Amino acid sequence: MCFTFSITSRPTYIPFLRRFISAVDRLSGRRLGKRGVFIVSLALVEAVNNAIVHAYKGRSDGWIDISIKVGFKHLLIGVAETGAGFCLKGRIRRFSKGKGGRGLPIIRALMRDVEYRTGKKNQLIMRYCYDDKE
Amino acid sequence: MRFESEEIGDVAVLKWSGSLDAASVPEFKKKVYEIVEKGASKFVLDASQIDFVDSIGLGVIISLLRRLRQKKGDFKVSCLQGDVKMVFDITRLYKLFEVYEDVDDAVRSFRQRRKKK
Repeated sequence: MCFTFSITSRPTYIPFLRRFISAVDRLSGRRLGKRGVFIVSLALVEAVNNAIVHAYKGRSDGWIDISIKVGFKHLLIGVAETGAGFCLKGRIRRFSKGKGGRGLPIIRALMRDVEYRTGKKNQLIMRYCYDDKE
Repeated sequence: MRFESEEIGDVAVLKWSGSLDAASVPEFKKKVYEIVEKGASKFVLDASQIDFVDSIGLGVIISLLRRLRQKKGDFKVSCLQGDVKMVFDITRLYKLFEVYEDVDDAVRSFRQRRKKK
């Protein structure tokens, strides 16, 4: 199963994103479970917040492309934008020194793998394994 | 989202229900800062009905905490539930906030501090 859609860079979509992850869980036969839905929703919301605040600097007219691939053992989430890029490792390093935002460190703590690709579009790719609930 | 506030002595107890995230933060900020503008500096957040929190929601309560501590006040957190508690753990916010199991303990802690002085 694979879902792709786009939203504009507005925080008003957050409740929709959370409901969408709940729907993905239902369609996938509850592979995520209650805790998994929370974790994946939070990671997705943080990635979208990051695109709004850092890539588009709070502008509400940017586009954010979201893709969710449901596999047998894991879920792959992609969040792409065309705004200003950032250094993923640098952000996480800043947090470990008590500085900077908490969004990316939250994603790093919740997801099995996190990758950030830059190019025509910048894309944050996150992998969540169903057995990572605890 | 539902917001309730109650005064116990000079402590404002805030009860926010639903999510504390980038979408709901403007409303939360408006309601809480109205109370701050009236002169309150001691707050307890009853988080028993908060089911979702993101880094933007955390950012708001952190800036509120810093502002209140400058005024010799504080912002304490109580009744954190499962998933939200996990977010406090991974962001190490237990180091920054005083966190209590229930509202009464959090309110009482303001009085105990006053007695110590």
